[in-house]
Amino acid sequence: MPVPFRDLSREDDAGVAGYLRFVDEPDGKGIRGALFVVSSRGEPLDFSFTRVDLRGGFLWRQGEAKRQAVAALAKSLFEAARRAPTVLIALADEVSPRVFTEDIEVGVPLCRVSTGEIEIQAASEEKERLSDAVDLFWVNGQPPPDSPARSLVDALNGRNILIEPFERASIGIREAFDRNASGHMVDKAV
Amino acid sequence: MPQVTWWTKLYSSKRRSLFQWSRKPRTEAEPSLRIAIRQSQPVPTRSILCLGDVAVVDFLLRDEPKTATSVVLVTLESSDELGDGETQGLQGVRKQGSLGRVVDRDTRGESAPSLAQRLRTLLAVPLESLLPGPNTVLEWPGELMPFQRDGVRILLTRDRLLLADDMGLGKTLQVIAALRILFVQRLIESALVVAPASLLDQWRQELARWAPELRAIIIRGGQMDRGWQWVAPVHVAIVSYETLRSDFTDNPQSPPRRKEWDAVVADEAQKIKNRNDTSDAIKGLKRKRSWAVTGTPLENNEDELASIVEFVDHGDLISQKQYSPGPELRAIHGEVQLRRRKSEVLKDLPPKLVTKLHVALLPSQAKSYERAEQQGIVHLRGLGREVRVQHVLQLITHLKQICNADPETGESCKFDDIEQRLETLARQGHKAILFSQYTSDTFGVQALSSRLQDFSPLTFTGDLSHEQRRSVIQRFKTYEKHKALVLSLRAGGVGLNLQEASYVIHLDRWWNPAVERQAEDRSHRFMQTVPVNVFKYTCVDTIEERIEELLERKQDLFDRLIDDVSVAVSKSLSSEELFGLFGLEAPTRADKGQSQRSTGLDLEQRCALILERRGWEVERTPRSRDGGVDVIGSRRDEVGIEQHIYVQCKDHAHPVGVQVVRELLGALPVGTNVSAVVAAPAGLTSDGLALANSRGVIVWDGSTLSELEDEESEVLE
Repeated sequence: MPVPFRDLSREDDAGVAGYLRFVDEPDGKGIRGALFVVSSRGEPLDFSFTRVDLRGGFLWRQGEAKRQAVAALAKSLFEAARRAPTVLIALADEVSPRVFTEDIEVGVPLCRVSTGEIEIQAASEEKERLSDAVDLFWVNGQPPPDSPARSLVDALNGRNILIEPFERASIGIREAFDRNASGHMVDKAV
Repeated sequence: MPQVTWWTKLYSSKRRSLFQWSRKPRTEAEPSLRIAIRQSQPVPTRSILCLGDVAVVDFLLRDEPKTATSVVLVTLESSDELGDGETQGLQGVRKQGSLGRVVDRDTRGESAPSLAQRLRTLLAVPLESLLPGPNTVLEWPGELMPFQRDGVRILLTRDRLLLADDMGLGKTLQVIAALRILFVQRLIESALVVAPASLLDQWRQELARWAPELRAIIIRGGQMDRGWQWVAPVHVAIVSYETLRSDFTDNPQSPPRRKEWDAVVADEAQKIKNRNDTSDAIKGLKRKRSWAVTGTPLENNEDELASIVEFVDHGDLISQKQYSPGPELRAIHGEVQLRRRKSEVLKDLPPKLVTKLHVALLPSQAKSYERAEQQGIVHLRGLGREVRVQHVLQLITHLKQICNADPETGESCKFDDIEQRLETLARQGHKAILFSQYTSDTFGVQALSSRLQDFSPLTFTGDLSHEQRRSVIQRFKTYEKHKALVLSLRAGGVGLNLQEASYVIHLDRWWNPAVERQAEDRSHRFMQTVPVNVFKYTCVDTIEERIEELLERKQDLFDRLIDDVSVAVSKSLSSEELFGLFGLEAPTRADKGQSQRSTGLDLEQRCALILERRGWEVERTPRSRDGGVDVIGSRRDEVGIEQHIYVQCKDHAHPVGVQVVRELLGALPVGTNVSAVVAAPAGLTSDGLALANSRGVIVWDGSTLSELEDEESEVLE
């Protein structure tokens, strides 16, 4: 076990945020996911991406299939992650709270962000109105006011970059998977 | 836990957090792509997809056998070296027999950026979040105006740019903001700023303010100090043109030559308008970005623009592009220049009000002036066919000095008027900056400063050290009692920010209106809140008035031809016009040719005059005991380093031989900053030329001497 230490001179000790992004494939047969880790200043640190086939067939309800896929993607991405984020942030429209209450239990504070009008979808969720346009849904309750996760979210929000990394993650996914995004062909040599 | 046993790790680049990285800049080379595969348990591998450099390992999740998931981790942080075990793991994957193609980095085409590179760019913090403004990712000490933000955006996207905004629009600020963002985005790792010596400290201060996490160093001092300063691990190195010229030797191992810079900034780029050692040095730097910064990219002629564009439009590391006036130059100029005018972008900038003050010489001044003018004309006429432009310029200079102040009595109509004006201005709480092209204590900066003692004046001249210069500017800005700052036009005319003063006074007129405007814009610039009043003095019925008329006529002509590009009218004054100022006829070419075939003593005079006009203090050795040296020039450059030049004059009818060069080399003192010149109108023999070239001896042959003598503008500056 290494000696735990904290480099006080590092700005990153404000913590790093992990943005989870999930995007349907154009043909609807799979889902792509990314874990985009950024510093409190929005600087990119890690970008992991992956995809999964959606389960098909009449036995699977569409919502369940997607939830399972998102859970599988999230597990893979977490496994691949090289650092533990201070806070995980996902889009409420993309991730059901059940993924993190019934399928996966994460060890860091996790919130779903909504810019629309949605309500709490799980008993353990706690809603926080961050601004007129942004609501946070803390999956397992809000972190304490003086916690690193709270500070990090406030720092990102103060710099107007709380939601912006989702856009970059989406661009990264598109670049990584789409043939036409950059003109580079994906050579699927199976 | 899922049985995720294979994963790929993609090495993109080393990354440190902003602040850690800022303290310890990267010096290592860009790391190469590495793919590491770790195996904890053997799991059937189904396929590998290749995305450029990225190997995507598909694997089966054992508990969900029908779901295939590909995982790629693109890490932007440091990565371990590829260990043996990992290499074996990769080979193990290959042996599964169901692999796709893993792209070997050695076989990659260099033209197409890898996915890792593309992702690094795409995932970078958006520019809008980095630019100075409220609640941005980077902390800035202030906000930029919209046109300045545009300028930063353009700088970020151009590796070749001539930023030619009007003076006072914050060009330095835009460059610093762009450099900071490039460093933060890890697109550059080193930058060199080349600036006039008087601006080095200002650059460092502005960098400390606007890019506090960047480490900057000023390269100056003795040779030993400069040696380590060039290789110091800093983000931004700042150096004067003179030091760069001195350190950029023919030796390929000389520090400036060895390094490849990610960005080189030529501040006040008009300093490289002439093709000389200085401009050669900066053009010879290995660099990926060339940004030239100047408010006056063209002062005299298109050749100057060509020289600046040659720096901006750098070629590859080996060859250097060359431009000459013409359509090609104009085309590339249009591509690389970004220019905004104050009137376009600073709608709120208070106006600059220029007033020409015509004053009459005081009685004693007038007497001295008349006497000097009459004697001068008699002298010129007496020279007959030997008279040259330089003799006329000498007389003009002398008369202009008398217009400033009578050398015998110290009387000065200009000083009197300035004193009266300052009394009024000081009472109203205003400050003034005053420029003169002379530093003399009889008729220049020192004399004016002595006269204005009641206003606690400060002086700023080229002989001040950097610390002294900084102190002077700081005191002027800080203390209310200092109502006047008297500057030499050469030392203080560029780069300083003196918005504290709302009055600018030109004691004497400079030959180049662009230089005057630059000086005025020390005050009339961004952040100025009150109108700036500019006063320009001209003594009536003197040479100043006659020259002014001539200059205005020429300036009008150029204004019509070249929109808002100032021209150095002195350059366009013909010999006929200069001689005409005194009612004399210019010598014909035949006369000139004859004068050049003059005696050895005349050649020494010519060389001495050439050096004097360029600011050298000249000493001529006794003819019989010259020891191989006829003229010795000494001066201090802008960083205070003493330079010497030793000239051997040989006005022979035939080319002189190797012995002359040997004699000169033998007479040189030991030490650095010594240049040797053989002045020989008939040239050197091939042996002599070979030795001179090999030992760095400069040769002034007939045509070189003529060129040096004919460079009026340079002479005047």
